[in-house]
Amino acid sequence: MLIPFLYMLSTSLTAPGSELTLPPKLVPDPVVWNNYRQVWVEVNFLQYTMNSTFITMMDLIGMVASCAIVAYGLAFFEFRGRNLIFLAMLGTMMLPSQITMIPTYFIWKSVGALDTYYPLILRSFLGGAFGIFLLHQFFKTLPKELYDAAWVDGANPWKIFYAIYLPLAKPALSALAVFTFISAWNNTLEPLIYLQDKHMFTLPLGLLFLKNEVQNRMTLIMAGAVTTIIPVLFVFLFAQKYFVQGIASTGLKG
Amino acid sequence: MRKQGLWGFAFTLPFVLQLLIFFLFPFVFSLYLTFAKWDLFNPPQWIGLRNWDQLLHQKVFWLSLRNVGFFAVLFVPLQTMAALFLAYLLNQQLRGKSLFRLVFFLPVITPWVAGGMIWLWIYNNEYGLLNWILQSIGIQPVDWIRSGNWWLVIGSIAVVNIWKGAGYSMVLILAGMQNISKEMLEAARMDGANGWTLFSKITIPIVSPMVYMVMILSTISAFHAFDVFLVMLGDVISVADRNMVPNILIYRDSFLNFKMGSASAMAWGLFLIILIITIFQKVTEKRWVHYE
Amino acid sequence: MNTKATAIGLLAALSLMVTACSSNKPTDAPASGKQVGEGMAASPQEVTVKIGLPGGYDITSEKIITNFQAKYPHIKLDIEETPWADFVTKIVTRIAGNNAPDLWLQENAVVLGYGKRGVAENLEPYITRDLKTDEYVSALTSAELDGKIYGIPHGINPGALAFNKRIFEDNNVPLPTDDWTFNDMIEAAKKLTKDTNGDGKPDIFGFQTGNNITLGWLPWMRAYGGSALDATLTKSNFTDPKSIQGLTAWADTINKLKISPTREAANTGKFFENGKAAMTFFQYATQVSLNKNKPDLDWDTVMMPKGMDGKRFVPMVVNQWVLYSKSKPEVKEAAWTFLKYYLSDEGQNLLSESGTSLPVKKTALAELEKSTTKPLNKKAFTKGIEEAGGTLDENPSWNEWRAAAGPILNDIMDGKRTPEDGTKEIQQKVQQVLDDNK
Repeated sequence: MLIPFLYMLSTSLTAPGSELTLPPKLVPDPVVWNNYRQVWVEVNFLQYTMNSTFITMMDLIGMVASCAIVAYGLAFFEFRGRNLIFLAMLGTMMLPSQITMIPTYFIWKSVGALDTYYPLILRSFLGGAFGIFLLHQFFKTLPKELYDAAWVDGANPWKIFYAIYLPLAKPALSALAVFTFISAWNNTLEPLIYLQDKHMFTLPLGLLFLKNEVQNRMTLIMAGAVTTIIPVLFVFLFAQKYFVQGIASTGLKG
Repeated sequence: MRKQGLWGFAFTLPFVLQLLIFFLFPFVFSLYLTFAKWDLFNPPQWIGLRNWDQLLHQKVFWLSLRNVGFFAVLFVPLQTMAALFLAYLLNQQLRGKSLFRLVFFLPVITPWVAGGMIWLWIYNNEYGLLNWILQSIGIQPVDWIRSGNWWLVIGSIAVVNIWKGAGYSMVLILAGMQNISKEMLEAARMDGANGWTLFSKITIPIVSPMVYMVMILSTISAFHAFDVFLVMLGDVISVADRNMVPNILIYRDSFLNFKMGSASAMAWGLFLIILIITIFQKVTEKRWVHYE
Repeated sequence: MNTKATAIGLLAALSLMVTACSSNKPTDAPASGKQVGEGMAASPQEVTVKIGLPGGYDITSEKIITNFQAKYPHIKLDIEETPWADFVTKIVTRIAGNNAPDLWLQENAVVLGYGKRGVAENLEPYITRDLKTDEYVSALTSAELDGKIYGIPHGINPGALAFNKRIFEDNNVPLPTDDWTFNDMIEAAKKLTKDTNGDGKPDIFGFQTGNNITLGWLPWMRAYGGSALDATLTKSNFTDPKSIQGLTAWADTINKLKISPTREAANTGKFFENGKAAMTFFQYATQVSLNKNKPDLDWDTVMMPKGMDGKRFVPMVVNQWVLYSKSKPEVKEAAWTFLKYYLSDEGQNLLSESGTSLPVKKTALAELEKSTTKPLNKKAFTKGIEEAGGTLDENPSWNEWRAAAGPILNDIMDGKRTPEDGTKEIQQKVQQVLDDNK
């Protein structure tokens, strides 16, 4: 479990040229911090980190909010086309991205949104299959009696959503937040295709420049990877408090 | 299920827009391309069923389906079980459990460059860890990743994918386990239920919607396997036919050979297969998935 | 979902599809000789040329760009940097979206394919009009297909035989020379392969055999008089007895003579770089990382050894600048102005300095021979390409037939299949690809 991570850490502290030995060394000798400095200098680190943070935050907010609303609608209401939407949602995950990428590019090009952040952000606000599916399944495990009780008390469905079910969904919401954070933070495909201006690049896209035709600077790549992982670790540690804190602690059921 | 249909429609509207704006056109367009020849530059030409006909006679496509099917058969249940087991374990009152959760989650966020290097070393024929262990207990070394036996190669890769994916599913199931109240477990324990009964009678039914989701998601991702195969087998042009998976073929035809028509036909073939499996999973859902 | 929304969505999608497709027609036919001449006379007006640079300024020297800007202020170069490995995805998407840069650096693999499909402008009229071709080595026109030329070399990346001086001297084996044949090389490699720690496995290898087309199987096939495709590049030549002989010798270095590490070990081993292999075929660009990572390694190069028939083959990878056929005429002219600067002494010398590839201009090559960086003997490359430089049986379906042959060649190299058996399948598959792409 841990070895690849330690190996990455170790390689990031190894002098260029002595990496990739077999069997892998887990303790670098000597320890070299220079890779980190070099990544900082060569990649426009501060700028890219800020760009990535902005995009990731927007995605996070958009995705969690929109998925919660849509999943609530699918899980608690019956209306025509509901099953179709559900199936279509699963369907969106089934066609390989190699095929949908180019037509999607046409769409953004036709509205003149190339070389902007819109293609990276806007869609998050309309929900995504994974998040909706996750929250839908979670809502389905929650007791329905709460809804009826609140309805009888005169609360409207919107109020029932944010006053009752949203707080109960904390474990699933925080899990979704973690996964959205990871995928937005590490995403390279959309930034690669849609961004032209180098100042707008994201961190993982900038780090891809460490590898090219003449050099594959593994020690720098690993140093870059470690730096991108650190925020993810913090997010995970912070969020895991919440995804293990559901009804069990509120004692609703039973 | 409530009957306030209009509310339901309003709540789901954002995603309906997502479907109409961003999915409808790529779907229609790629479906059209399955009946066309398109080199990604000149206008597409309608060629009827030629792509489909070719697809059905293309041996390597069938091989790739066999491989990815075998991959899914190994990966989906094993990963789901591993995730369920880990989630159950780490949901207990365990010392340092948050640290353990992090450890099992690390592979998810460890980039393939690092994971790939280590796994290639583990499977290395001459210097590898696995063969070193085998030899030290007197068993002949095995040619894991470079083997001529497709099932050995695919199986080895499935293990790597489980390493990478179990932590992901673990978190999802863990979230689902929070709906099990302590009172319920206490009451059952009072009635003399042992650990296994608690697990199978209380935990499993309550997390079943999450487990169901994990299975659907990992089935889809297994059929789309791409990265893990490239990491373990080299680049897109050096994967042997016997180890091929559909997404590598699709990538090759679309982005290297500029044959978007046949790539789209493959993608739609794969799409239909996944769709049928998912519908089957959905039909059998009622038999074991427990909703409130 | 109500039917109205569906209908509107469908309509929108269809109209999008129609515009996407109809706008895909080439706007103007590739310029003929006459039209090219007319663009020249225009007074200097502001023109912007969008240039796609895979690998950024690590691959294309930034000085070339800035010096050009200083000289031609009315031509603005709009540089788009893209990571090297992901350039394919990006450029393919942009070409499909009718939105490609005007000029970009393209790997040798698909240049001819781009020419055939009409993406790349035919540069032959420009070359005839403006260049004295005898000032350049023949690689200048290496992107030629049916009399049309679809690219200007970004640089040449040829192979040579690199050797570790210390290993030779320690074993009292005479150093390689330009007159060596493949046999001389194999004989020396046998003497240099050593098991120093006595575990029954060699840990210093005489040679490290490559597994790709450039430094691996193709030079070996050529050395024995074979080739991958026939001279017309329309027929597979893998089952030719000479081709099979070459592949047999190639695989034997690992499986029979054991003078080279296996493919699997070589993947992670970096044998030559770490002083564990006495010789290897070496591509010019590799010197950049080798000099950076192992400045103390004592190594040099000689020309690729001669084949069995005494003839030499120096494999070259020639990446090209490709001009987008749908760019506006004045932009094409401006881009060509940049290419002319790139091919001038100044541009070519700057390219040499970067060390990533060889220039195509003879004066710049002569200048490079004076360079004192490692490898000292640059003539192994510069004279090598003049004497025997050859591209890698490239044709419009190069990527596709290479993908058909590659995995089976790997099996041959790993000793899993005999060359006789493997080439039968390769022959059939490669021929299939060639026929499909006629």
